Amino acid sequence: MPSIDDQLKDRLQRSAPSPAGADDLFVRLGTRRRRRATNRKLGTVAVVVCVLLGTAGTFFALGRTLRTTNVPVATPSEPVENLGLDFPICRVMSMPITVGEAPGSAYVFTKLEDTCPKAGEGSRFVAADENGDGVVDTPPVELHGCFPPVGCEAFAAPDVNGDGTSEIAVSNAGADGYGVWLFALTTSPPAVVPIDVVDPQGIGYIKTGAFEFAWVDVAGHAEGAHCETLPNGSTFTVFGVDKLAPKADVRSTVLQIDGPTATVVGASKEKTAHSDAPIPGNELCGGPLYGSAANFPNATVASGLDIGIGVPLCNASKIVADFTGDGQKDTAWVGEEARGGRCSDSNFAYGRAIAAVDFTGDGLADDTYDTISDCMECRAYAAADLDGDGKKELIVLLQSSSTPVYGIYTAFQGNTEGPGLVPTTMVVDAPAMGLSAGDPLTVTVGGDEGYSYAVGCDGFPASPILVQSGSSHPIEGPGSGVRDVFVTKLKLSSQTATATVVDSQHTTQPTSDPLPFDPLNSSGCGVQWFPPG
Amino acid sequence: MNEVELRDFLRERYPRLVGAVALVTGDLASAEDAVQEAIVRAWERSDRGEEIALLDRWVATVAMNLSRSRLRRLRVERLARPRLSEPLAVEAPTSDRLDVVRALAALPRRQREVTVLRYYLDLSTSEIANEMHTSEGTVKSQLSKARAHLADALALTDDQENSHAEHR
Repeated sequence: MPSIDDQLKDRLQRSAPSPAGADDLFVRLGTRRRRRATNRKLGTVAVVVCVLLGTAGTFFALGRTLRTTNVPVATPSEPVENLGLDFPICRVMSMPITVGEAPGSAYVFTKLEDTCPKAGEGSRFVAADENGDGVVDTPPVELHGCFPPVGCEAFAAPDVNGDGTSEIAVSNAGADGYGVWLFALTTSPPAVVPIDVVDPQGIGYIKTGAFEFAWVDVAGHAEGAHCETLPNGSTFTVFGVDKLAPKADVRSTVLQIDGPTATVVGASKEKTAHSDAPIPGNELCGGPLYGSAANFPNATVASGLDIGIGVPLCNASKIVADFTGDGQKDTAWVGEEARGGRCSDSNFAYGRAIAAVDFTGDGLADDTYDTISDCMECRAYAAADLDGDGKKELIVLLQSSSTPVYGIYTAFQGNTEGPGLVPTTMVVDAPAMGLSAGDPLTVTVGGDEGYSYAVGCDGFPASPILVQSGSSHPIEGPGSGVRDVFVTKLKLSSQTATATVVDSQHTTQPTSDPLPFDPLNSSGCGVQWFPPG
Repeated sequence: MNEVELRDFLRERYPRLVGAVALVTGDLASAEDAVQEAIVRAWERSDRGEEIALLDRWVATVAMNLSRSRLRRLRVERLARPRLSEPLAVEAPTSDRLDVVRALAALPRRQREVTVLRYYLDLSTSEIANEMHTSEGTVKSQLSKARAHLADALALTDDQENSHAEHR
């Protein structure tokens, strides 16, 4: 008899329903794609207007002008015809180096395949031209652990031990900063050699083996490195800082680098004032950082944010508003928890996000946070007082599509739940909205073939009633001449984080008649619901 | 992704992906809608020059996420009702299929997803963990629970396990 696993496979294969054949599926998908593009354009116009107005307002308010900075960019040296290698290359980055005081170049490049692999993909190497003749003298060393979207880059090439020859730092950009590997240069024979860390006393806060350190500076944590010139030679210090209250915890490991060996010669762990804690900047041992790290720390803040939940918050969005009615501004965030130190693509259907709030103004989430499980490109969207009690609710965009879906969160400062955000839930069924008692409230706007949605508001601001309208009809065949129109009116209570249906109507009308609501311009209760801003 | 590749994908992979999502959701119309939406999103990404290495897995994951939207499911079911009444649109369910659908429906959503990914789409536990952004241990645990439930509900027996039981 087959195993249970095999029986399950067989039963599922035989039980899966098949879609009816659709010869025109390609055409239908094309239509769907165009419709999505049109809806997105509508939304984009609104975003552009908001951004332009916001940007102009910010500069007026701050009295600042646009500032430009000179950024060292790692660029291909001329010529880059394979640099004398026996395979074609692309994505070449270079940094100037010194070898025994003579100028040369370090290169980071990708092996060309049929086409040039994308950043973070393919085979990536580091090598060096030690005499400045445009030809690499060292065998290329393959870099491992380069991942998209940025991949491995030339990071810096300072002389960290003062021996007149550069060390080569290569980075891989992650969610919050960079992982950096350090290599030594030898001339006899010419080679780029990974530096090994040894710790004979076992005192360092660094792992032994291939020399790696991080370059990161987020709200609660920082890591980096710096050089010191001492009477008995230069040392290289790798540090990590936990930015705690009221002081910072600083762990430092001091290394002496001699050729391909970095020996731990000292280590310390101390509490210091935050102002005295070391921070990584945009230079290493007096030399500039190259590539995307040249703008550090600006290059790192977009994709990860530390709000004190233990992991960085990726693709974070925030709304600042008074969620408690105390006259103070609070901050609510929506984003994804980093996984393995990396953020997923912001457009990817990740499925899970968190909503957190800071009432105290310390930049960290207060106690609890809510997990949003049905999330598609979620973001904190708006704040509005949807029940007229003087406290604003957080409106979260749960699904970004031609039919955006929003959830509504209420802030609690205490009670049994602890401070945090909780989703507003239904007290009773709202069948026209597809919701049952106990479900989190969601409202939908926009439209697609055969159906349309809008959200409006009655009685705002004193006694708001949220109005969800919707219509649907078959797009062809029987019933396509008549549409169902549903209107559900909801009364929200932030005291209990609930929504009650106060009115529900179902009517029909010919599809040739105009809709009783406008799905392409939906607003109410102080919120522009569609197009999404 | 050019037109030829997309047409090939629709011909070769689309029915299986719809089947997978339908096993999870229990509804063919919403499964079709979710898979089509996922494919359109993949197409858009391709137009932007982004590559999706394992397209069928990507579409399966996105479609399963999309199918979690209760509103989407509700309105697709409503819209599809007249179409589904056409005799060619759906096959009459066999009692065996109904048993499987009922047994799957009794599982929590996550267990249903890992079951379908494992036993219908033939993904390994590490691949499922990767797709679902969870640990392999969690996947194995969910699979074990789902397997026990399904074996019981569908009266599946295993000679080897029986003999183990006899020895015990």
